[in-house]
Amino acid sequence: MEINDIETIEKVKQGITCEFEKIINKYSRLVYSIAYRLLRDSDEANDLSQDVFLRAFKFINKYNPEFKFSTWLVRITYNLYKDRFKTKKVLLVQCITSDEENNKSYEEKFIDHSQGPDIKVENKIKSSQIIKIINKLPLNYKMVINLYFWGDYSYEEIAEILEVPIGTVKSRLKRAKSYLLENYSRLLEKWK
Amino acid sequence: MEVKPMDCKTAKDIIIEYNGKPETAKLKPEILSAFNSHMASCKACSLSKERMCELTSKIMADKIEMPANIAANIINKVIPKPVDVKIKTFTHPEPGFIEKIAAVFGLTSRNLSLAFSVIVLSLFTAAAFIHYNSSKEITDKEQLSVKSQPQNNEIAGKAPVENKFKKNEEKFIAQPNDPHEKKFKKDIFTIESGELANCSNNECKTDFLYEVKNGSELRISYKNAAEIIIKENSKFKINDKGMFLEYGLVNVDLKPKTLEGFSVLTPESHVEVVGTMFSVSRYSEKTEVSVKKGTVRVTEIESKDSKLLNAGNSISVSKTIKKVNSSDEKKENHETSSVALSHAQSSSSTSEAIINHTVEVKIEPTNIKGVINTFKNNDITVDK
Repeated sequence: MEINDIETIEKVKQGITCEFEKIINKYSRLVYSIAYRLLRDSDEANDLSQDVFLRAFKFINKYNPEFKFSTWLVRITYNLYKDRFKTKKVLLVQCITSDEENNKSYEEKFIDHSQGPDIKVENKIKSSQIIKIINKLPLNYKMVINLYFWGDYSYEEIAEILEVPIGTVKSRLKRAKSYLLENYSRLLEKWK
Repeated sequence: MEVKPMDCKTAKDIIIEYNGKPETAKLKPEILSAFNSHMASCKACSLSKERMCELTSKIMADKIEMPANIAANIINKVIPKPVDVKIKTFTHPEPGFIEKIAAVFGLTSRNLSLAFSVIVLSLFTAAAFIHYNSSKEITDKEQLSVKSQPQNNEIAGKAPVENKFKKNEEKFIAQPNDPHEKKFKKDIFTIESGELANCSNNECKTDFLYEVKNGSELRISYKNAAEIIIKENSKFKINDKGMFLEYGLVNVDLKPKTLEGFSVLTPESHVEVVGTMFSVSRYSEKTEVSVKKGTVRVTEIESKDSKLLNAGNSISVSKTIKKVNSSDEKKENHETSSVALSHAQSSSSTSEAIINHTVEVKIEPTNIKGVINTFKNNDITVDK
């Protein structure tokens, strides 16, 4: 953690609220990117980012300087996202438990077949399909993938953010990658 | 050193763990050589390795379009805005007329208003008090005047005669603290029965010369204390001092202890009632007084000579006391001489002189009740 962050946070703790603008300017992109990759919606990502900084500003006194401030912010993001996901999960369960969904296989549920293979050869389309596969991952796996690939966090940092042991992080990451590879392979085979 | 052949599962784990690029990782050389030999021999693992590399590169290539105002939006949402404090400056308005007056007295406008209200209230209270007192005096006078109106029917219980006094005649307004006036404040006289020749409505007026209608007998209640019977063709006046008989015959029946000072005035004499039953007649400029009961004092006005007439006695007065029908022979002789003297004068001068004569009648309360009853039953005849 940079020394400037510590000084800024101390000023905010002392009541100089305008100093928190520096924090926002510095970490808003990080928080937004993670929020966007989790939600894949700019408006919701924007709202989630605002909520993250609002909570950080409100509970700034609970921040432990031993950890990175960015790690603390991402943890807040993850927790807020979990809270939102709980509400959406109910809707998802209802959708899956319908008769139409029950007749589909696991792969059909998580692999998008809406677009024809002739058009989706292009990389851009492949990337979008990969993103869709990632989004269909369970929350814990998606968060690990997110932090691992885009957050450039180490296993230790991911473990701190998710508040789980490093071994758990590694196992979740391995399963998530395996799942992605498998689905991506199937997708490519269909395109052929 | 022999290299153990690597199975597909182990190779796949290495592919997944190192994102399809184990050569960049710090693997042991023997493991790396075994992996490479396996990749060369297994097309499926080789394909998985390629796909894993492609997948990783595509995931890493994912870029996000960052909103330009993301930081500003968050700042606006998170950091509270400083409150704009608007300081309003109040300028004292220019003092008005009331404030200026209050400043002269060293008061505030509110205190001045309060003081002004107190003054106005005091003035109003004083005016109301004065008005109340004045109206109360007027009301008392009116009440006295109203009470002095005749109450004919209640007094006599006989045939009603509509007679009214004038309300505000000073003679009938009682003066305060005057017990005598309070005693007679109600009525002077009321006409109970009979008819008047010169007054159609029998209106009771003081000092008015009434004339009793021919063939009628007038009955008057005087101050609710005397019953006066006036014969036909008599002419008389009545006021609060008594009555003036100019012509005719009057019978007076006084109730005991009521009409002290009542008198009957004729041109020749003044008959003052002091409590008895008597009659006074005046015909042909000659007055005769007859006492039925009690005692009457007859005073000659000119000479101030007086006589007491007891019950059963009578006197005739023309110019002087002429005759007294009495058992007292001395008095009779003396009075006869007086009368003879008066007869020597001319008739014209006699009438003028007689006007100044007075007959006084004093009330003697002794044995009055019995005489009243006998008197009421007797017819009074006039000796002409």
